[in-house]
Amino acid sequence: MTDISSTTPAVQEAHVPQTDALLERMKTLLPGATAVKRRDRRYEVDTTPEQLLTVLETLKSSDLGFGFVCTIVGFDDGTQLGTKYILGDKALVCSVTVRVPNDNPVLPTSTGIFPASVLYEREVHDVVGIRFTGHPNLSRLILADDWPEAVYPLRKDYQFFKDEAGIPVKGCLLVDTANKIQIKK
Amino acid sequence: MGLVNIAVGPQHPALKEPINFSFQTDGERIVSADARIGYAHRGIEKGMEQNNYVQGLFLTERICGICSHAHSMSYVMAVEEAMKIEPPKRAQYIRCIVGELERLHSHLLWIGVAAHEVGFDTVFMYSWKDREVVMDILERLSGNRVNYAINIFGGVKRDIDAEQAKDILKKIEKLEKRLQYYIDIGEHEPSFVARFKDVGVLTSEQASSLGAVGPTARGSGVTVDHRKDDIFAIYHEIDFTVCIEQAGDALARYIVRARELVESCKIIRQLLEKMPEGEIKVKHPRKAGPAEVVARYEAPRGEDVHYLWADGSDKPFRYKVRAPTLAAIPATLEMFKNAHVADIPVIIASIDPCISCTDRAIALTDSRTGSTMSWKELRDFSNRWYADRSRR
Repeated sequence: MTDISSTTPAVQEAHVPQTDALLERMKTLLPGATAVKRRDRRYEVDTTPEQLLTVLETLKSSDLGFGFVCTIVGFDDGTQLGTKYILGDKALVCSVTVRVPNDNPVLPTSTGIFPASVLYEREVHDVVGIRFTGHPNLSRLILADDWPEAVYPLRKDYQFFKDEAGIPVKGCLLVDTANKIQIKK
Repeated sequence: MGLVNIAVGPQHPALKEPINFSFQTDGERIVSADARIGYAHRGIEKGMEQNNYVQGLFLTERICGICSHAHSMSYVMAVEEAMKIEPPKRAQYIRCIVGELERLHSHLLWIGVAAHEVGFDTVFMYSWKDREVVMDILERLSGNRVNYAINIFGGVKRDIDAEQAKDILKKIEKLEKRLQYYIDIGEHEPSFVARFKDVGVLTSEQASSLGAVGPTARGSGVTVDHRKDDIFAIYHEIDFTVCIEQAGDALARYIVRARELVESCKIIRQLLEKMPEGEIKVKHPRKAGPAEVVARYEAPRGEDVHYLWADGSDKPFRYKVRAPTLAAIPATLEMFKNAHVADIPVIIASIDPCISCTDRAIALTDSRTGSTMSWKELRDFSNRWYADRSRR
């Protein structure tokens, strides 16, 4: 097996001249957040809900240049909920991770910094159940209108009911294991 | 008179796909617009978490019916990085050939639809006829017209032999002569230009801040194309031009796509000429990670982002897909502002929306008898059917 980082074509390296200098700049400009370089052109930053907006604003500023939000990933790591803001400039990608407690998943909206995140936050709210304070309209985006309230399909403690053939039945029945309630759609 | 709300869709006037727009109008002018999606939501991200990596390949390929290869490419690029394998060069070339053919057929399809929206059905007929040439090539290469199933982790499933390569070159050459016609229409045909010009204007700043991607962004003068920027596969070995238009209207987006057709032909020719001999795949492990990967691919409609969180098992821990059309929706809502109600279909069509449309089958009704069949019954029925046939 070959390690990708060692075989990335030289042309690609030449395309991004400032890579490691950029990581150093990130570390100086983002005190309190951890920044790592995962591979060529890919960076990761970990931060807290309190510092989130400052970090996003700094990353967007001309100093660092991640002016584009590719998407926002909502996740449940089994113990905590969280979001990953996948920010990009032309060639580089920086993902900003922030975690929130399971029982009170609230984050400030990033729509003031990235207007494009308006739909992504609605999607995260739908599927993982993180509330974004200050969002202009957190109404349902991708789940069906008759989908039950407070049932978040991408949390880890929800599961499908399947028939004997292993096929999810009736557009998937979900069990809220925390509250021991069976929710029928 | 006060503002009037008009709902357009989910069965809507532009494409035969389900998306709902609600417009606030003042007479014939649109004041604001909002979108509601999810009518075709199939829970693929949850499905990815429940299936292993190879099964996921089949799922990602079915995210979209037009750009199936784009999603499959993003997926294999992400998984290969997590598995720490690199496909051989020949495989990369074959992937890109299929990718460019897909771009050709997608743009030709779109040109037909756009022409149909403005009542120019002759072009619709021509472009779909030309698209058949591309579909024939794809069918010859992969055996399929829609889901090419060419990708596997560590390479591709099918090779391209010398005879196929010759055939592709011949057909592409024939096609290329036809493509100039579509560019000419966008530049000179008066009725076509009149209908598209200054409709759905998006400035360069709006395109960047609202996250527009692909031809929508390039039509507004934003130079973004991941085949040149966040380079993947072997695009650094290929010489081509990123098509940019400054006007930011529907006509500019048309011209960008029409020019990209010619560029794609140029790319395919180079790929076939430069394609090295050798293996087409390497073995891949069953498990991936632990790793977190963001893969970006330049799909026909723009940047396609896939995010993979691999935890070391044989299934993704979290998988996230951001298709290009979702990124284009905030920009589209901006285009509607101050537009005429009659321009709604043109504006919607101008971003080339792709609201993936196949819902998961739950109950199937026999059209003759009216009886319904569950998935399990259908499966049993098909097993019986094939078992009976083999005995004959």
